Amino acid sequence: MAAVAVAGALLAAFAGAAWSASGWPSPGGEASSSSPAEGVEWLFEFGTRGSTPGKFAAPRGIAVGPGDVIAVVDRSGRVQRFQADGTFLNEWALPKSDTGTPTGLGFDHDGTILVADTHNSRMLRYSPEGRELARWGRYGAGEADCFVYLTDACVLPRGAGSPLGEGGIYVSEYGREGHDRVLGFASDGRLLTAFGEFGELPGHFRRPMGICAVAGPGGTLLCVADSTNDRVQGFDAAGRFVREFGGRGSGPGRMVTPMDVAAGPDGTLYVVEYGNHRVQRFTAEGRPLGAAGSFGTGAEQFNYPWGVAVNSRGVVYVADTKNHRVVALRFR
Amino acid sequence: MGIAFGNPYFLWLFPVLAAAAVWIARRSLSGLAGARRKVALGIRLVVILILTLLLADPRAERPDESVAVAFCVDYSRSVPEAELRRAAKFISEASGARHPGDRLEVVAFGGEAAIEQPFAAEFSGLAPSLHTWVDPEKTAIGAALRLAASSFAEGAGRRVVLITDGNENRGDVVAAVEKARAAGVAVDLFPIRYKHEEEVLVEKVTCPDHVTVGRKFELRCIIHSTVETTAEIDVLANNEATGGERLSAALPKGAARLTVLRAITGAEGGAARAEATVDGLPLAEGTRLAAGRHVVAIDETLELPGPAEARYRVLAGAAGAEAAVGAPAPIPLAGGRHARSLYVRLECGGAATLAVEHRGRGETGRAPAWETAAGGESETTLVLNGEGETKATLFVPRERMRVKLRPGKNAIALPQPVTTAGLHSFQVRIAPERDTVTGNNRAFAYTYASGDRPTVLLLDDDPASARLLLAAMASRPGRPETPFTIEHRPSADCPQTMLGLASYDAIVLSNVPAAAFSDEQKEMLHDAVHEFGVGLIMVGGGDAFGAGGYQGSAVEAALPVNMDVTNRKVTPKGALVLVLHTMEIPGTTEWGKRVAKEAIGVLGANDVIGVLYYDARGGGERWLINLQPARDKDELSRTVDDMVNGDAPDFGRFVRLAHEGLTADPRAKDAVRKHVIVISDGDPARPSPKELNDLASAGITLSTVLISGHGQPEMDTMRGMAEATGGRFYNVLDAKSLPRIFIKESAVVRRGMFMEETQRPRVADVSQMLQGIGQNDLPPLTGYVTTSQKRNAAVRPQYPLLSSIKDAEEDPILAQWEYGVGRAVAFTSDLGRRWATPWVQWGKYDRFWRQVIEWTLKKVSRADFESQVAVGGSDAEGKIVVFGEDEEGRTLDGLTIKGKVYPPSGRPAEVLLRQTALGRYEGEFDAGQEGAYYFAADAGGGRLITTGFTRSASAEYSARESDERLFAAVLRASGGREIREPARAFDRDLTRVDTRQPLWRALFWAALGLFFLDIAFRRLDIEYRALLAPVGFVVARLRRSRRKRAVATKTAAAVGGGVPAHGAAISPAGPEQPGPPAAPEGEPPAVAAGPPGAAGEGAGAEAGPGDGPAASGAEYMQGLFAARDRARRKRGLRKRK
Repeated sequence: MAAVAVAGALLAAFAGAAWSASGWPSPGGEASSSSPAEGVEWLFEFGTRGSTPGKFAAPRGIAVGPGDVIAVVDRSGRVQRFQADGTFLNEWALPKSDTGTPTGLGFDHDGTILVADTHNSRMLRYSPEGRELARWGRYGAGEADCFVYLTDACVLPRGAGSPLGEGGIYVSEYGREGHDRVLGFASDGRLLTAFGEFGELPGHFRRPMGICAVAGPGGTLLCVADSTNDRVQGFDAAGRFVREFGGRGSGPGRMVTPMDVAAGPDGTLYVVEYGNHRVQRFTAEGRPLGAAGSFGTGAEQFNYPWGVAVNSRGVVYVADTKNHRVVALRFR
Repeated sequence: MGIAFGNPYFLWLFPVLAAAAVWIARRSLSGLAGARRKVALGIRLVVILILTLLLADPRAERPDESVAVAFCVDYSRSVPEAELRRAAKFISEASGARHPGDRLEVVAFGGEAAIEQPFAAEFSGLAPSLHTWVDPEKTAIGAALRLAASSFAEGAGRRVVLITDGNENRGDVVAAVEKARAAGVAVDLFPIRYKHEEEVLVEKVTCPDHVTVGRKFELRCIIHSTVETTAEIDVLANNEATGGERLSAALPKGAARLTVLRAITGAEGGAARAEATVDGLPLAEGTRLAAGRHVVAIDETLELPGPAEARYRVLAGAAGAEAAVGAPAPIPLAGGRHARSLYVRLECGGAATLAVEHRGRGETGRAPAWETAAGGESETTLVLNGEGETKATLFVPRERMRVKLRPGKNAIALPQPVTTAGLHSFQVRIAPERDTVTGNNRAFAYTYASGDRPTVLLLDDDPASARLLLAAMASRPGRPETPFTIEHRPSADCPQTMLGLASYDAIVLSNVPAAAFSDEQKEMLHDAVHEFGVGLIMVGGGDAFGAGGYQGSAVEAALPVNMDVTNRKVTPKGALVLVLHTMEIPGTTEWGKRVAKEAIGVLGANDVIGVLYYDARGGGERWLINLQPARDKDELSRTVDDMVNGDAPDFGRFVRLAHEGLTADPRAKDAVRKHVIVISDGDPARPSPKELNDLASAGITLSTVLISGHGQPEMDTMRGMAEATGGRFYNVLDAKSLPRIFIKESAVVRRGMFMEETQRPRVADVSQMLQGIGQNDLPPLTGYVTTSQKRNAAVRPQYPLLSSIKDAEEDPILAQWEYGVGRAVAFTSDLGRRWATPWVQWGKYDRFWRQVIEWTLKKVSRADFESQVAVGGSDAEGKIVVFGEDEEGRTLDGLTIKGKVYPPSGRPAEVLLRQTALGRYEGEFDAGQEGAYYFAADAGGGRLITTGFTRSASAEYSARESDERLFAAVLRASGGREIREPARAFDRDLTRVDTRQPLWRALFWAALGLFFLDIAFRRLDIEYRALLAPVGFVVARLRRSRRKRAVATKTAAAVGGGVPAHGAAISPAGPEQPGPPAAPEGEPPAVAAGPPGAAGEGAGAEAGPGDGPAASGAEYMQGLFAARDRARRKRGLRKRK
């Protein structure tokens, strides 16, 4: 009997060790900073790998809209809507395509969803029920309605005084000479303005991804995650360069391949870093306030995350792409 | 269940052993008490009985039980399809008629046998196509029977049903039947009977072994027919339809004429009519043609009373000055009506008018149609008046010959022209009107044609480069005649068969990379030199020799130089960085890894390799393999295999890392050539112009390989990256193109193998090739590919003929050697496009190349060996017999003749001919395939034996009916019957014997158990009474409690009060009760008297009511005494032992 008990205990110990040791070894190179445990409250997560309702196939774009409704796009070409607690609401599929799937989306004030259908070079507008309301754009170069890769969209807060008019949409784009910029559309899809070019200088972009608007003391700031340049840039509504922050690294205030940026209700910015597997919080001036997450597949870890969104209560949702889930947390 | 014994004689052993056991027992069992002794002896006897039974091999015989039937189905070609379907239906019906428990198996056979459906209770019918594969070209019924017989499991009745047509051509079924019968397997037959009433087949085709180019010869074709019918005959030469002939003429500006003279000979009477149309429209007088291409069709209708021949002659040229253009071969025609067309393609340099004239026997007509009598001459003339020159090409299609066949043997002669030298194969096909089996309607023959002029094949993908050599070899006044013709083809048109290659006298590979040839072609090029004596010349350029990726190939083995420059003290090295990023689409990662591994494989040991990737394990852009020499390629390949690739967001960082490595890393920065290959799906963001410029200014080229890109933007990104640095862009749509890409790309790295400096080559040795060319004659070269001369004591010459000195190393420029039966030359500079430009204008350029090529031309003479080839009867074995005599008629003996046989498809096989008699040598080879085989062997001294053999349709096709005699023989040997009713297949009239393992085992364990019991019985003191104590105990307690109750009632009545509970333990319940629980002797429980139960009973203080001491006293004492006596006795017994 004793022998059996000992064997059983050993087995249990072994199993426990193996299970808890799951997850990849930490990446080489610079030490990545993980979350200061005091500053972050990990709330919950939802979603597992799959292409059925409530499941994700590499979720990349995430946005929060009126009523704190969450919308997520993933590699299966679906848009899924959830309540703030992760309860599934509805889903629909984008028009089928061989060329690829969307990587970003944004909400309009009326709850309609603007999806940046990246590899099809077009914007799609949907009602909350998933009915397609409008689409514009096609692949090409040089002409007014031709684009390459559209990566994310955002609509300025009401009354922000954008030259695009009420409901104007800012969309980031990259992919070809002359097409590394931020576009400004009227609410009906007419291209009104564009700014930016390829490069590393202020006002230049290399693969601009996430875009969001944050209200600040000087007015509304349009923030763009300039991923290959490892920085976030801020512009005014007219497209004039205001500031940049970031720079390659893993320490506080630095970032590696920021893929998305979102604005909190308190005017802070949240940046999700693909290369550092974390989400970092900044003031609108670019001062770092804290970070959360490290590489891995377990709790409090991310695996090459692409998207971040914040709701009206400051709950931060991270599209944890390679872990096929959305993680909710809050910075205190 | 009955029991039979395999070796019943052993049973007689029992009485003997039993008696012996009894006698022995008298002594060994003497210590036991009587009853025990008897039991011990009994056990021993039982053990001996069991052992004897085992020796006698008991088997259980079962009466009629389930039956297992194996159906062997003949899938060879001789069995008609309809009969196979009938057989399948038969099996299904038989399956339906089974009894429960019966099992069924299907064995398919042809040349060999395979189990199509193993034994199972369920049978769902024969699938339309077999799951297994058997060779349908042969029939081996015996093999099927052997396989079926060995596949039966034990225990059921066994029957094999053969379903065949009896046309056996491999093995012997009757022997197999006899063996099966001896093993107790019943063999029955379901014969497939048929007889082809109408059957036409080609028995064989013969032609002379040797012919001369330009002279006609005849193919003789023997056709068997069972009926009278007609058939059309087609001849394919070298697998191409001999469709027709083409003649070209140039018509000058102005008035010109092209006349087709037609003579129908051999038939008198009949009619002929001709019409001409141009571009489909009738030719009216003076039709206007625009400049460009037009096709004139001359439609002839001939009605012939009997067989005839149509002969044409063509004249063309300016009006009044026509010259003969040519005469196509005469076309044989059968009697009857023929509709034929000739086509003239006119390529008009300018606008023209066209008219047609017909002229017949004395009659002239300009009308579009014209009639005359056949049997004479007529002509059709195209009258052209053009503003520019016109090229006219006349195409005369061949008529498909029609023959009448009589029942029996028919011999048909088919004249054939031969226009090129070398080995030719012919396939004759017939299409009879009445026929049953079509598989036997063709046959092959071969011949070897020798021409008057050697032909040289020039493979060069650059037409301008080829023109340089062609121009130098063309005949020109004042220049001596070139003793060979030279034919230029792009490398993609290189002949794919040995036949095609061996028909040339020399092959020149001018700047052709290894990737242009398949592995088979490379081996054939090697064999063409080694076995067939074809000359091989490799001429350099940026894609030849080592830079072309020939290292380790069969072609390298045939050349006098090595691709790897191992003899240099300073080896120029290249550095390659691979960037691997393939993600989203499954399978593309594997392609990417393959390209990487193959690229690593082609690098030299001194070349430097580094691999970048995006780490899926969190680390981003990293080096998978740090820049290092490509030495341990297996290890490097394994690392690539283990790579787990992530989704890279951007190319720029990779470009930066590659640049940094190639310019700053000490292992790579001194490389002569630096190259980067990016393998990706194109998704990451593109690098900046500056990042790419940094590469370009550091002399680093970047090529991109796009695998499964989504769309245009990815292609643009990848293409742009390659263009910015002068690299190449590849869009890979299927995996087959990958090998060429990596060879080509890795060769870029090996461009460290060029030496690009202007230098005059040095004459290092004397040779026929350099006759009349001295050191001072040679112009300088501006570059060449570095190679190293092969140094092998057996190789002559040891030194290159021309060389260049660089870094104190002698690099070959021109090298030669003899390899096998042939000769090979390497010229490491080029024909003049890039590096040998000064040579093009050199006065002796043509002389140099003429001498080089001439030296390599096939020098082999055909040996005076007579050869015969035959195919052995039932097995497809070919035998080649060769007789050798020298010029004086004496036999050639003691030779070792090694050769190769080239089958119709697949790899060549080596054949060794052994001497079996004076001057006679024999060898065997596998002749299973249908088609033309040829054989080449070196008889020594530059003499080549070549011969061929054609195997026509397999023996299967010559079967015209089922073989009744074989049916009868099988039934005789097996004692079985012909099954006509499906249900009879599962009849139960079978005798079987089977062994029952369980019997054996059960008996064995029983014997073992008894054996130990015997020991135990004798050795152990077991109180059997004690063993039975629990039973007794329960019984006694029951009795005692009854008694106690009776006593208690009495006592209570007497005493009228409480009774002490004590005493119950001490009062034995009866004589069966064992001794006192105190057990003062201390005996162990097993041997001791009482089970704990008794003590327990005492301890439990069973207080039966009214258990008084009065009832137990005397009994108690009695029990004590009895126990004491018993214990004494036991001790005594034990002491004695």
